[in-house]
Amino acid sequence: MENDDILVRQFFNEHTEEIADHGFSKRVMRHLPDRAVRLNRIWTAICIVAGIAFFIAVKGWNVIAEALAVCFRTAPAQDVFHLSPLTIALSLLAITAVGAYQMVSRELRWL
Amino acid sequence: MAASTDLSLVTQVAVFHNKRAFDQLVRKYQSPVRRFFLNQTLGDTQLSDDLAQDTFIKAYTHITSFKGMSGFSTWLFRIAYNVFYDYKRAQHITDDIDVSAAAHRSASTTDGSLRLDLYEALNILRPDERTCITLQLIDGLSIDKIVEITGITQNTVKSHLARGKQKLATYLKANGYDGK
Repeated sequence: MENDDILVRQFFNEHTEEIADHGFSKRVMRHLPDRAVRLNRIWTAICIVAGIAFFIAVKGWNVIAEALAVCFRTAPAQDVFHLSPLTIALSLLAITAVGAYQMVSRELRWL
Repeated sequence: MAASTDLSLVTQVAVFHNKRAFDQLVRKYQSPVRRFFLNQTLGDTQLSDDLAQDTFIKAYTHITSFKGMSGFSTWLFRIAYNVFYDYKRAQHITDDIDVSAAAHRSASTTDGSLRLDLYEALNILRPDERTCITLQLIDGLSIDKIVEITGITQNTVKSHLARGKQKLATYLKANGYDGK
């Protein structure tokens, strides 16, 4: 029984060898999920939710309406770049839409 | 010393998401993990590398669940063991892997004759016996560590080891191996 144990151990000692890496570690590292991106997305989601909650809590639509009203009242007098208030409003709307589209399309890539 | 180094690297991965630290862990443990899978699959190099890669990715994504109660290598082997048995369950692999197929796969490795003998010998064992035998005799793990990795009771592990060694000794003698 003891001799059998020695025999088997000797066989395995003779057959135990280190396996060369041959690029295996690099392949593993290339396939690791990007934790930083995931964390970034989680933080983005938390900030958006917090922002929306804050907006609702302070009735942000009232603040925006008031600010816009002031802008439309005073803009003709300021004559900014000789542009009409409507042109400025449309430009701001377009920039906001492009920004929102960029953010959504970037997030959808990770789904 | 090695354990404290592992713990330091694991901390860097878990807290700072330091990929370079994880790369060091992969380089350190790629050989035992890939060898573990080669022994369980009887020399299927491609499958072993795929399962080993899966093991390291799981280790990376679940690194925060490593509590340091056991060594990092034991924790990693436990993941490897689960990955292999999940794969087996998914593929419905039968207990008996064809010897000729194993031999064919082995022949494509760098040291065909050496591997052929090892995998032919391992092929006579049942999967649980093979796992216990290789963890003890190739990876040098104690019975307690094997229990921790496999989740099998200590008495069953001892029984697998005794039966596996007996089968192997009979096989080796029948094939003219006398250790000289």
